[in-house]
Amino acid sequence: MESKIYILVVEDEPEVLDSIVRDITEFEDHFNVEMTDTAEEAEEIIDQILEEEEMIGLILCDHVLPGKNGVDLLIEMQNDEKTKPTKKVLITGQAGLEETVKAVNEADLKHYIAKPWEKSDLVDITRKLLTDYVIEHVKDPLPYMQVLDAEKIAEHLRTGRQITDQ
Amino acid sequence: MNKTKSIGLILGIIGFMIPLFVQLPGLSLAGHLAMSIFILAAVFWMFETIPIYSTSILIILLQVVLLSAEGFVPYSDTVYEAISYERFIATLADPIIILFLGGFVLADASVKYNLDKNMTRILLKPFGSDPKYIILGLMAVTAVLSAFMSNTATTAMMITVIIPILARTDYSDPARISIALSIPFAANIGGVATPIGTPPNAVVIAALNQQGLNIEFGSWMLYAMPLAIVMLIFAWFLLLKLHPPATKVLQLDLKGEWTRSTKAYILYVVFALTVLLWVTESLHGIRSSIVALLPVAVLTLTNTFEKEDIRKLPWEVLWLIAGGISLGISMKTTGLADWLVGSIGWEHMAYMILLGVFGGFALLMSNFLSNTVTASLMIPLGISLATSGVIDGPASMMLIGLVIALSTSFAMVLPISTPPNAIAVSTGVVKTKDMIVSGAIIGAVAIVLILLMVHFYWPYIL
Amino acid sequence: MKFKLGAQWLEDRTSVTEMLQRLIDETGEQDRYLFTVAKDTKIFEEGDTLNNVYILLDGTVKLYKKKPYNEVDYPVIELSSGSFIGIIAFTTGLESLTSARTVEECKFLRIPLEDVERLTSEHPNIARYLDELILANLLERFRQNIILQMKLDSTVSKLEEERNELRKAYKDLQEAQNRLVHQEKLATLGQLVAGFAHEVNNPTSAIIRSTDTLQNHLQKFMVRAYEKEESDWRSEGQYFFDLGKKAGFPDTSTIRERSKKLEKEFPEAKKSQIRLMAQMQSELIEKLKVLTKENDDRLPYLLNQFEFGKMFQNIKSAGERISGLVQSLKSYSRADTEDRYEWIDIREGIHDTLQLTSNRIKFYELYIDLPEVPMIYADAAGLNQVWTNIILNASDVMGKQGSLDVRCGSDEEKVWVSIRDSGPGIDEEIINKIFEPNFTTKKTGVKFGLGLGLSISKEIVEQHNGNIRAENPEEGGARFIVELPIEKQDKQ
Repeated sequence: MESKIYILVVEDEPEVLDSIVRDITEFEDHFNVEMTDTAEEAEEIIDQILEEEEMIGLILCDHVLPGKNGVDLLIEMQNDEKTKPTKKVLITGQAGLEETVKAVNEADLKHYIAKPWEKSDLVDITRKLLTDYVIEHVKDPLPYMQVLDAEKIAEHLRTGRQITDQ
Repeated sequence: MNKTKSIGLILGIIGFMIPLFVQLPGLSLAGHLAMSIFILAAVFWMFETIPIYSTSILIILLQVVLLSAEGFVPYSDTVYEAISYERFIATLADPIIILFLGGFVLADASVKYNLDKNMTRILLKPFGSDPKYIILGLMAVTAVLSAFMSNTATTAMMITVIIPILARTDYSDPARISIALSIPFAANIGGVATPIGTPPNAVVIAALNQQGLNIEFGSWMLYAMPLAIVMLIFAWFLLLKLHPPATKVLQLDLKGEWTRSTKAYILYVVFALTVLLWVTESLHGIRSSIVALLPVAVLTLTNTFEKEDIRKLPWEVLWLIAGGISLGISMKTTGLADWLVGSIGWEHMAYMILLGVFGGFALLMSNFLSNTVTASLMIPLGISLATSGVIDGPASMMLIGLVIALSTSFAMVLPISTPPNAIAVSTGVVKTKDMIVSGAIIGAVAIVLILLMVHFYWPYIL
Repeated sequence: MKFKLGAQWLEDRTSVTEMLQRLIDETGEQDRYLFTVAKDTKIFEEGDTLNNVYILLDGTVKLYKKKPYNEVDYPVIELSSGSFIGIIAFTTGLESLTSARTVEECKFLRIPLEDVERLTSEHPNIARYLDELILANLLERFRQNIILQMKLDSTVSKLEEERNELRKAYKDLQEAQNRLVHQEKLATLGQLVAGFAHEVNNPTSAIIRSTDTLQNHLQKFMVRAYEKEESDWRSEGQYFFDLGKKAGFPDTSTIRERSKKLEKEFPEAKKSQIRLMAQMQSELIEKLKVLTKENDDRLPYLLNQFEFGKMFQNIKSAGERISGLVQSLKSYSRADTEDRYEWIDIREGIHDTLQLTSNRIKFYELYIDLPEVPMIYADAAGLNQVWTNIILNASDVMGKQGSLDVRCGSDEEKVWVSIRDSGPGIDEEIINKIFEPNFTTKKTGVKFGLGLGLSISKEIVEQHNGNIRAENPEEGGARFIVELPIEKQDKQ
C-alpha cells in the first residue's frame, strides 16, 4: 500500500459516532478511521493527515455540530485543493432543504444519509464512494479490491491499464 | 524509498563496480562492461529499485554509452568490434515489438468496443450451468483471449464476469476458490499459445531472430498450443480436485449487446483478418510483424482507434521487451554470454538435465521476478549454450529458447508471480495458500511436460 | 371708489339693489334692463365672455362648475336676490368661471357692459350703488368661503377620527386572528402530541423491556456457552460487561490519545479493538495487559463483553431520552389537561421548554437558577409559548455560540422570570416596537412554527394580567422579564 487512506467521521453525539464507526468497521483493515466530535477538531486532524502526505478518502459528517456546522466544513474542504478529492457525505437528522441544497451545490456532496440510517446503506455508500476515490486517486487499487467494489475496480483495470503484463 | 529498494540501489551500484575493478580472466574489456550492465540490470530488476521498464531504458542508455562505437569507451585496440548504437536503439522497432504493438492495438480496441466481453458472453454460452463445465468454460475463454490480449487485461475483464457469480455462490462453497483461481491460471497458460500472448515470448523470439532463426506466428502456435491445451485441462482437473464445487448449478447471466457501429464493425473485420493472416503465415509468407501493421494502420486511419487510445497503449511493456532484447545483443556480441556459459562445466550434464535445469531455474526465478525479466536474463545464456556447442545445433537453440519462454509463463505460485495472480488474490476470495499449492503443482507438471515435448514432440516438427 | 353707505348697507344687499333699481327706473330705461326669467333657465355658460352685468332682483340662481374629466356640473354656490351674478368676470373681464342657472322664476337687471359705462357716468348714484353692491357681494362671497373652510376642517378631522377607529379595529382583528391561529395551533399540537406520545411510548417501552430481557438471556447464554471454561472467565466477563455499562464516552481527542498509547501496548490488536479499549476504564486495561499469549483468546471475549455492556447502556439511555422528550412534549403542550387555566409551577414549563429547544441551545452555556416560587393560576401551554419565543429569539440572535441565563423569583404579589442572552442586545430605536404584531428583524420569519413572536407573548402575558418587557442590561445581551401576578385573577 502506498500512503494510507483515511475515513473521517465527524459527529458530536458519542453514541451516534460510536454506531457509525461500528457500522463501517469492515473497512478498518484497509482504511484508517478517525473520529472527531467537532468541525474544528476535524480540521486539525485533516491538517495532520495531509502533513504526513496521507489521503482522506471519505468524510462522513453530521450536520448540526457545536461551533462550525457540517455543511460549512464540507464547503471549506471543497474549496481547498488538497481536500477537494475527498468524497463527502452528510449524515443528518434534520438539515433543511436550504442547507442541503447548499451542500450539494457548494460542497459537491456525494450523498445524504438521513438518520436513522440502515447499516447496509451506510456500508454500501461507503464502499461505493471509497471505490470511486481509490479508482480516481490511487495508482495501485489492488490492495483495496477485497473490501471495495471488486467488479468496478476490475473493470477499471480492464480499461485503465494501471497494471500490465510484465 | 523503502528498505528493499534502498538495498537494491546499493547492491546494484556495488555490483556495477565489481567488473570495473576485478579482472576476470578470459573476458574482454567490453565483456567486463557488459557484465557491469548485466549485474546492475539483474539487481535493479530483482529489487525493483526503479520500475522494471526504467531499468530496461537504463540498460539501453548504458549500452549506448559504454558499448557502442559512438560511446565513450574507445574499443579500436581491443578484440571487441564495437557495434553501432543504432543496433541498441533499433530494438525498440524490432519486428517483435511491432508485432506486439499490433497485438496491443487490437486488444485495446477490443476493450474499447467491448469485443472481449461480448466474445466471453458468446463463448461461455455452450458451457451450461454445471459448475464444473462453467469453470472449464471460464478457463477456455480466458486462455483464448489472453493468447491475443494481455494476460492482465484478460484477467481483469474475467474478474468482472466472475464477481457476480461469486456473489451468488455460498460463502463456504469451494467453487468460489476454484473459480477465482481458474481465471489467473488460465490467463497465464493462455499467454504461451501465441507469440503475442505474453512478453517473454517476444524476448525469446527476438533473441532467436538475432541468431537468424525466424519463428512464424503459426509455427509458434504449433509448438506451444498443445502444451497450453494440455496444461489448461490439467489445471482444470487439479482445481476441481482440490476445490470441488459443492453447488450443483451456477447461473451465468451475461448481459450485453454487441456494439453496433461502423467503427465496431471495422474492428471486428480487422480483428478476424489479422488473426487469420497471422496463423496462415506459412501459406502466404507475409511476416507476422508486417501483418501487425494492418490493425495499427486501419484502425487509426478510420479513427476507430484514436489519439487518446494510442496514448493509453502500454508503451512501457514495449520498452521492457526492447531492454531485454538489447541486453541479449550486448551479452552476445561482447562475448559475456559465452564466457558465462564457458565458466560452468555444462559438459558434465546430460542434455535433458541441462534443459531441465534451465527450465526449472526460469520457473523459479519468474515466480519472484517479472516473466519478461527472467526471459531477458536467461535467454542470452541459453543461446550461448547452444552456439558454443555445449548442446547441439540450431534445433537446440530453438529448444532451449522454447524451454525458457514457456517455463517463465508457468510461474504462478505466488500473488507476486504474475499480475493476474495478484488481481485474483486481491479479490479476497483466494488465499495465498491455495494459490501456492495448486500453482506449485501446475509449475512442476509444466516443466515435466515441457521436457517431454523436448523429447517427443518438438524435434519432430521443427 | 367711495363707500359712503356704511356698514349697514353692506349687510343688506337687497336695499342696495332696490336703490339701484330705483335709480335705473329713474333713467326711464328700466324696460331695457329688466328681465324676468323662467325657472331652470341657463343665463350664461362657463367659459362665456360676459357682455352683460346681471343683478338678481328677485329669485334664486345657482352657479355651477364643470368637474374636470367627467364634465358633470356641480353646484358651487346659491345666490339670492341682491346678488351680482358674474361678478368675477365683470371685475376681471375674463371668461366666466361658472355657469348660472335659475332655480325659480327670477327677476334680473341685465345691463350690457357698454351701457354700464354710460349709466354710471350719467348717473353717479348708479355708479355708487353699483360699487356698494360689488363690495357687498365680494364680502358675502368671502364669508361663504370662511364658512366653507370651517366645514371642510371639521369634515377632515371627522374623517381622520374614523380612519383611526378603522385602523384600531383592523389591528384588533389581526391580533384576534393571530391569537386564534395560535390557539388553533396549540390545540392541534396538543392533539398531535397526545397521539404521538402514545405511539412513541409504546415502541419505546417495548425496546426498553426487550432489552432488559435480552440482557438477562444473554448473560445466561454466556454462562452456558463458557461452561467448560474456568469460572474466572465468566466472572471477569461479567465484570467487563458491568463496567461497559458504566463506561460513558470519552471525547474523540481523548480516544485518539489513548489509542496511540494502546497501539504500542497491544501491537497485536486490531484497530477496532483498540478503539474499544480506548473507551475502557483504566482498571479494565490493566486486566487486559495481564493476559498472556496463551490465553489471548480472552481478549476478544472480554472486549465483546465490554461492548455488550456499552450497547445495552446505549439502548437504555437512548430509550430514556425518547421517553423524556415525549414527556416534555406532553407537558409542554398540556396535551393531557382539559382546562387551560390551572394552578401551575412555572418552572416545570421552563424546564420542558429548555428540553424541547435543546436542539437549538445545546451548544450554549446555560446558567439556570430556578428557586422555588409560588404556584400561579395560569395557562401553562400559553406561558410555554412565551418562554419558547424568548429562547428561540435569543438563539436566532446569538447563532451558534453564546450563553443563556434563565432565572425566576417572586415577591408577595408576583412571580417573575428573566431570560438573558449574550447577543448584541436590542437597538434602543426598536426596543419599544418589538412587542408589536408582525414586528420582526428576521428576514425569513420565525423558523420553527411554534410561535407568532413577541406580540403573542405579550398577548398571553397580558391575559394573565402580567407584563413583559425587554431591556439591555449592563452586562450585555438582551433581557426579557415576565412578571405574573400570584393572586387568582378573573380570566377571560
